[in-house]
Amino acid sequence: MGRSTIPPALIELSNPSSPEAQLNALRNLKNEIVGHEQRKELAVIHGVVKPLAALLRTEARKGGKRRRGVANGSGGGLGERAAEWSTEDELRFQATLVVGSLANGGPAFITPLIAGDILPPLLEALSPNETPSKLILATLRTLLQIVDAVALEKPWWDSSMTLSHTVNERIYTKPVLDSLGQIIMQTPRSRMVYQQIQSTTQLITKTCHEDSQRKMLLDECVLDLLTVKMVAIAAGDDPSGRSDMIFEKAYALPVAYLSDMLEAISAIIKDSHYNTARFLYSQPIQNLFMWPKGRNSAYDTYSGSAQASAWEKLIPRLQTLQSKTDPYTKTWPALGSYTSTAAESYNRLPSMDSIQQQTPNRNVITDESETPLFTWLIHVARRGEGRERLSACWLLALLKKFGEKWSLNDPSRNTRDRHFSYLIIPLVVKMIEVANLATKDTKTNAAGPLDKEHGWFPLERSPLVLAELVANNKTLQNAVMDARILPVLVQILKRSFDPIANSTKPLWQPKPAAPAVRDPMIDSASSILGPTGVSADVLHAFKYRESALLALAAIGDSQDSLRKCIIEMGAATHIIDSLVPYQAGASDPSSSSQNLGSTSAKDGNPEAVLIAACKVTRSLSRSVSVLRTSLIDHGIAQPSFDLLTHPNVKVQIAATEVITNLVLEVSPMRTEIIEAGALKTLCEHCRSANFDLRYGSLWALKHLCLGLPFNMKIHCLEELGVGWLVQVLHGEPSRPASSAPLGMGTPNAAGEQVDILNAVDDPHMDVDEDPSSSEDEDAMTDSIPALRRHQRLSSRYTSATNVRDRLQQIRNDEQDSRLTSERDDVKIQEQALDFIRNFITGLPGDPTGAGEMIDHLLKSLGHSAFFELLDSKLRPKNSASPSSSQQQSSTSTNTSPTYWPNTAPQRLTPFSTPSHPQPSLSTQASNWSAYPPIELITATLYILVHLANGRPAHRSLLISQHALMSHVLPLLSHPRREVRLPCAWFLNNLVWVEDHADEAPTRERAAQLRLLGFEEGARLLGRDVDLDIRERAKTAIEQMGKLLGTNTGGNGGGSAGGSGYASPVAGGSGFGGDGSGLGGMRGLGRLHPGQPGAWGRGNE
Amino acid sequence: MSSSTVSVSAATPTQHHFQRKVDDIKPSKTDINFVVMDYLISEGYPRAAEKFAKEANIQLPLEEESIQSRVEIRCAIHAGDIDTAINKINDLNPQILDTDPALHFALLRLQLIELIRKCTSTPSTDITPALNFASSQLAPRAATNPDFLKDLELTMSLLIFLPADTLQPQLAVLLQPTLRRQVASKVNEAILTSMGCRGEARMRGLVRLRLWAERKAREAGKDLPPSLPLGLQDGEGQQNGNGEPADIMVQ
Repeated sequence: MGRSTIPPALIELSNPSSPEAQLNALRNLKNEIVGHEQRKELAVIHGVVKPLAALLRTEARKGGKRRRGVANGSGGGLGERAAEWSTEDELRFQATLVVGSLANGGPAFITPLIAGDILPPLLEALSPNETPSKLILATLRTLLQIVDAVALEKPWWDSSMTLSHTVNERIYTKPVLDSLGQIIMQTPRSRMVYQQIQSTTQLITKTCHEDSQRKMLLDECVLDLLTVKMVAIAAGDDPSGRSDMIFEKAYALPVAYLSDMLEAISAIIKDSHYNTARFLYSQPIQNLFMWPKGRNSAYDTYSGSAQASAWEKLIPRLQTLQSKTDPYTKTWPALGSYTSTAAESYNRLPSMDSIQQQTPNRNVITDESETPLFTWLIHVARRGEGRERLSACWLLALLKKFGEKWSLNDPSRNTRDRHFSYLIIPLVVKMIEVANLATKDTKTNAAGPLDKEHGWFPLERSPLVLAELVANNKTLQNAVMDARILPVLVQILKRSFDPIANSTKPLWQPKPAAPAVRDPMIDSASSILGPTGVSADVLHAFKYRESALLALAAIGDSQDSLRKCIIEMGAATHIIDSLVPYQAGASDPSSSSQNLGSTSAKDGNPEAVLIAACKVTRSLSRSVSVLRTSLIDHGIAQPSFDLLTHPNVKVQIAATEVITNLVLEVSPMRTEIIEAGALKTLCEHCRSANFDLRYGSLWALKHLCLGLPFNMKIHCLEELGVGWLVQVLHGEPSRPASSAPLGMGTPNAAGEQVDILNAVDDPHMDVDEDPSSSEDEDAMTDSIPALRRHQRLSSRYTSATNVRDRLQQIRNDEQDSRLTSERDDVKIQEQALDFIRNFITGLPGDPTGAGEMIDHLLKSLGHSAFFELLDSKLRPKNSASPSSSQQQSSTSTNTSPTYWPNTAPQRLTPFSTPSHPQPSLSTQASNWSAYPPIELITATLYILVHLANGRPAHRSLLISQHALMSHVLPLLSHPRREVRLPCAWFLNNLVWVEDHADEAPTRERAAQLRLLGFEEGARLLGRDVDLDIRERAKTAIEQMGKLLGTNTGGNGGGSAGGSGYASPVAGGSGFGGDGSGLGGMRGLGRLHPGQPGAWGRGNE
Repeated sequence: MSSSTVSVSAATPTQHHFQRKVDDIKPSKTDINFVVMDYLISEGYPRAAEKFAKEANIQLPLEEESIQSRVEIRCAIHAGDIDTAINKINDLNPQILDTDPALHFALLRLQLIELIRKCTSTPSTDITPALNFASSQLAPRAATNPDFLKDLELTMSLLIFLPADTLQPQLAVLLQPTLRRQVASKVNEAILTSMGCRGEARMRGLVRLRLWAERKAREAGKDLPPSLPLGLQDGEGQQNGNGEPADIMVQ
């Protein structure tokens, strides 16, 4: 390299003779280093960074001064450039290009660039008012190159130290985002502006990963601006043509730029319901996609709105909700997976069906409309290909997730799954297949950089889209299964472990590199290369491995059959491989550079992959049979356990969630994990500062504790600390628990999230001025669903106050720290209560164990303190006389429809449903809302059930707790089944006759119960709508009647006399849920080892 | 726009029924104009585009900053002045070559060929510049990719054979202007893609689509005329009455 022009160029740069000479030197330097790593290195070592930064700085200052005040060249066409492009500009331009080219060298070059302070002048150059547009574009490109290079950092580095952290910190500042906003805002008059906007959106997409960044983008109106641009493009598709009047065509970018828009919007709204809501309710979206204000009156409700149907033309019509009476349905039953789960998925469907049956003269086949925004996005997905299709699907998936939490009476909810399973899933599946095939062939890196990017992105993204779409949605999961994508996903996963040919062979050097003689004059920080990153291929493999894992996790998250399928495809081996963390040289990054080009199982995985692997393991381990066969065969326990102590807390949390399922009693890995010392680790984690880890660990301990031998249990409690447990049960220490007004933000008796704090000014209940469109309507049976829908929509989407309140509500739910801590507190208390319950549960073979455990617990916690604690979870917060509420509520206990599956009561919060208030219950609800959250009541009641299952003495002790008992009584008439059922069991257990000697004390207990009013209560339960409760109550009534020698009044007449003793046993084993043949033991002891359904941990 | 816009074919005396079908289709003039304009812009014929816009009475698409540079770069490559071409590409967007080693290598090899051509043109000239260039520019890159290495070796063998009247075909290819044109077109494509445009003119895609459709149709045994000329070559273009696309293509 003797003829290299670098040193002379550098000399010229540092000591400029004239601008022209400097410019020449820069040009030569650029031509020299482009595409030549070694020369880039040489340039950096010779200290090119400092002079470059200085050049950019000074020229920026000059340029800024010159241009300030000059007419704002929004768009900067040729004219402006010709007029103003000066040597100084050219210098900056060339310097910017040089920086970009250096950045292309990879993360190693970013370290000196940052050390040389090259970012600030670049970021300053983004303001469209001060910088010529050609320079802005070059700067944006350079920034993109820097960001791209930074992305190649080793993913397993400490996140706070990374370059990306530094770079992002610089970018996400107010002035920079302000400039970015201005760039987006420009009227696109030239291709130059197109490219500027495109680069800006790409920059946002590539850098926006954290909530704080999303919030900044939102606050700086970047999201709004992007929305404007997106809507401008969408307006071109508006079939009604109405939008031509509203939106100037001039604002629209060509459709080719749509995918970047959608990507950037997705990046901002991801993981934040509030941001999503801001997008959905933003003015441009409302204007284009929702109903215009003045049109409500002109509505023809029967033929449907002209507006809505116009958008619907864009996608094929799907027939949905066919009435059973329809001959068409009989002849042609709906196909496949949809019908199989439709009934379970939609609690509202049957009612719709019945509505239609009432009006048989109407056309029973209704074409359900999607909301126009969804319609348009589906249309884009169907029309476009590649990136455009993918980004539309991605945005749809994110919006769908939002719609699931905040349905807001969205009329399309019912049919959304159908639309998605017929119109979107096939597209996504196809994309995965194509991406799989396309990249399989091009293992060689002969393809150009762009081909690579085009081939890579779909492979990384499409499984992720699939995961997002099908999570917790059986209908879509089945649709995916029908599409037979599983083998492809497993294949992709498998392929991610293939060794990657080292594609980045070093350049050949004619002479061995002479040891660089360091010039002491050169700033050392900016002239030493940083550590190299991983090769793009390796990173790509990690990314698609993660995506494939997440897709598998989502597919298998709720159905056993699908879990088995995944295992049958042979995914287990690869999942285990994905659980291995990256180890070698993690602490010493420089030494691991030789691993640059290879990735294999033994090299381990970055954190994102580990978390994804934990998720899929958790999904799979929900299936007992999979747990007992494949997972144990593959030795899942050890790697999962090892991850518990991974340095990254997110990985710890994910691993804890896996362990939670693995330490269940049914799990064969249980002993292995306990022996490995899980108990100690989990107890330690219970004291972690991270709530999720604390919560997850306690949950795991809850599972672990069940069925442990006596001494282990005691050890467990000691390890955890009685004091700690009591503290948790009393509520988080930091929380203003007692002062909080009446359990704000906690589910009320009907399980609804009643936000009492907000209820004061009542933002979401009564904002609709039009009473006919208020949400109460939900309960009304409007004979024409379509009409009802349209009315609601029109009122919902046009009222500005309405939108504002809605946003406020979503924001509070997501960002109000009090609300979230409140919610967290309830969650962890519930786990703590469950832990106690499992603690006092006897071993299957040792019925007396329960008594001992109870004794131990009472001793450790103290009688009175313990009962007071339990009592505090059962009584209304204001301790008003509960008897009155009982009177009122006894009439309509069972009218509350349940919108949530019973399987996950602890996950109720996502449904925080102010949008579904039950008017029929509202009077009682006000009473029940004073009670602690329903999860806590239920958990406490189950503790009581188990206490009552101890020794006879414990039963007497319980009954003697008059305050406690008096607070249980009103719960017998609680509107929720989940509360009444343990009450019935509780009574049942209390009057249980242990043996012959116990008969007299039991009689006494029964008498006391009658005195307390429980006989009446039992009768009430005996008339319950729920068969389970009724049977339990009947047994109790019968038993009481027998003990007290009075007639049961015919209430218990249904059950034969002898069955009284047998039924608890039968009920218990039936209830254990796992059906593992535990009959013969005292049934109640085994009742609900965890929350119902709690052991397959819900997907967050 | 549909594929029909290029489904032009020769009028045969006895009209095949397929031909009648073709004739029945009246491609939209706007579409054809669009395709033509797209071709002119993509391939970098600004003056022709201007004239065509005037003739066809359509608006010239958005001013395109790069078109002039693309023309200059193409000319430079065609003329064998690769150094200028590389400089200009780097002025436009250094990322193009930075991230596409294959393209960069192709350009450098072209430059090497020019150097070799120059120093072997007269027997007395020194070949050191070529050697130096090869060792400093091409050799380091050749190590990264076996294909590059092969290409380099082939190119270097020119030094031995030149000047010569007859060359092995694989060597002769290196000296033909086709190679320059190929590289120029690749560069053009890369520049266009880097700006977020389609890399190639839509017309090329349409022509390929037509050929593919014809092949498929013949495979399926459809009743087609024995030959369906595109009408793009001079020889066969004589008897077809259609015009614009073909004429423009020949330009």
